Amino acid sequence: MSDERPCPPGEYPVVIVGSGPGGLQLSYDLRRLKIKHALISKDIGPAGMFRRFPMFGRLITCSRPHAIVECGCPAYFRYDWNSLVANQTEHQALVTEFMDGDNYFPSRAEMEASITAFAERGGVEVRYECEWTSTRREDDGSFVLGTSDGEYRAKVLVFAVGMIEPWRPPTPGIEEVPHYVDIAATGIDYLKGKKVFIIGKRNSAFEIANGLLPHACQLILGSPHGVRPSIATGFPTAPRARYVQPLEDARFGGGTFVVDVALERIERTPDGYIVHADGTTGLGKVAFEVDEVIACTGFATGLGDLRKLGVETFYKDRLPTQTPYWESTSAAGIYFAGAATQGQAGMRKYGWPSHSASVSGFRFNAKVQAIEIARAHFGYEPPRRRIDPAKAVGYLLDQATSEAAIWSQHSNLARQLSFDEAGAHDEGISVLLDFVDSSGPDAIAITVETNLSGDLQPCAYVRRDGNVREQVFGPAWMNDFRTDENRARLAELLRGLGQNVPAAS
Amino acid sequence: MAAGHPQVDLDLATLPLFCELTSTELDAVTQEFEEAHAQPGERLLREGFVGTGFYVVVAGEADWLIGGHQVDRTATIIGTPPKPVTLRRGSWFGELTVLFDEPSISDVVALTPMHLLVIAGHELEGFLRRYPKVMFALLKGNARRLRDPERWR
Repeated sequence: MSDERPCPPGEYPVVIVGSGPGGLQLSYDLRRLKIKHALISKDIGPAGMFRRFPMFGRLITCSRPHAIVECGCPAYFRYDWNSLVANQTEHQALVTEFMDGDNYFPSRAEMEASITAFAERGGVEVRYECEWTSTRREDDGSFVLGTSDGEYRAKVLVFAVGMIEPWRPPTPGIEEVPHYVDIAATGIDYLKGKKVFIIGKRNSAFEIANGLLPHACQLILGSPHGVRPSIATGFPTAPRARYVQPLEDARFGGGTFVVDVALERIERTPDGYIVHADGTTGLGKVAFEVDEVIACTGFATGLGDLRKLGVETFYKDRLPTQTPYWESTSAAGIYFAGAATQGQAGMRKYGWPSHSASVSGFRFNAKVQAIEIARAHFGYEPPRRRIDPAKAVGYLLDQATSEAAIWSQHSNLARQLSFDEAGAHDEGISVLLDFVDSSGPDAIAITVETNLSGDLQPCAYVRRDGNVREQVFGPAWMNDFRTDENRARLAELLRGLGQNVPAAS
Repeated sequence: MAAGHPQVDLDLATLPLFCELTSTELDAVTQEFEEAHAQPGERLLREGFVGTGFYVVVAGEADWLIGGHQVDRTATIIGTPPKPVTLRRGSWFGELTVLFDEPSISDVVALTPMHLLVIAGHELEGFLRRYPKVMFALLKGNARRLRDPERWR
């Protein structure tokens, strides 16, 4: 019987590894740019991760069935953190189309259905059950990717392999306890009625603790650092509100303890475990006798043999170091997509990390990255849409108020306009880090940022005569930045850019 | 691991800012910071920009620049002639911008591949209050820069 799967082994300009939302979004956009590529996946279908995670069935990112803008319009994606972004309406597969309406956090099955439909409607071709096994670079700089189906040759490789490898700190004894990813396989039945120590206080730890509240008789969450949930920090990477019920239970004395301790070692006993620790807030040494221990200590990117090709890492070897366009800083031609793109932390304005850990942010990374790969490696010239200079101010404030790419990647992605004697040009969505540190014609890039008070505000970066200056705008009621004051300030900033550009709005 | 950007053992106990902390405190401090990396030529602080963080250099070197020129940071305070400064393992920067909540007066530009710790600006004050030993080390370090810029360099 012949193998009718697409993308057979052979030579391609680009090979993408991974059929999660990062790989599918990139493939969709490369296809629109007519960059031939192969997309391979070891999974049996799209979005394999969502068949296993999150463990308790629903995502922590929301998709609003009803928003103040029309479902599916570009601005709607501000309110839908999960859907992949199509360029054509007929390719759209919004998660809300598959949700039952009971919750604005989609279930894993609903997410998987949406991603599967996106791949089908957008014509994304994937060779499933094709596992990446090795990588090498040839003398001419091209790559050879070994897979379970044979060899692929490519000028550019993109790894969209997620960040789901279990990671543990070097605490003695921790290798004996199951990790979050192991619990996804074993289930939680064996924890019923047990005293459980959960190592960690991030989302995975609180997700498990929240799920175990009706099952375990006692829960202890321990790590050196105090809890700072998302509703306090404003960061979506911090423990999310829907998981912090155990924190309230601890405050109410309900049988959950959330302790600030440095773990010294974990001792296996005939009856369970003793977790030896030292309080980081002054209570001193302590030994927790528990039935079970779970390590919710984080995840790493599965890099296979890429380190041998020179891919450097940081964050305790968990993430590859990346350029502004998510290319390895040390192995040219190797790119990353999906959750691994959080290794490019962006501008870190006001301490905000990028939103690249979740679909909401990395789907827009993929769209920008597709253009950059096409431009840098295959001679593609991105179109530059002419903008009536008289409408530039209004356009930029519209973008700051509603553009989903900007809102999904505060301080990291920006709408860029350039100016020359011919007028104003829309350069599309840009990586802000690249814009502020590179030279070029007079231009402006506008984004939104969250300031020290937690307020959202626009920020414009203006490049004039090669120098980039930052111009912060104030917050506005209902985050509608199209105020008369902002129009006047922005008009002044644009005055004279690219020579005689009219400053009216 | 490729040359030029080795995997770094943080070993915070050997950094002047953290050397007074117990091992338990060091465990906690490690989680207060995020890890960051930078490539040669990359800007970590940008002159005139707000919203920066506080950085500690774990590995690598960076230039400290004002108006694109290499300077001794004390020069702006006590009027001494500009002298080049290289930030290296154990150095820190960004605290003045954060504490004064003002735009940075300088650029910090990586000279080599760098490994850093960074804490968001709005978290610095709380962090220093939780770890007064670190606050005191920072105070001593900054005072030394004023008193003895040659030694600091």
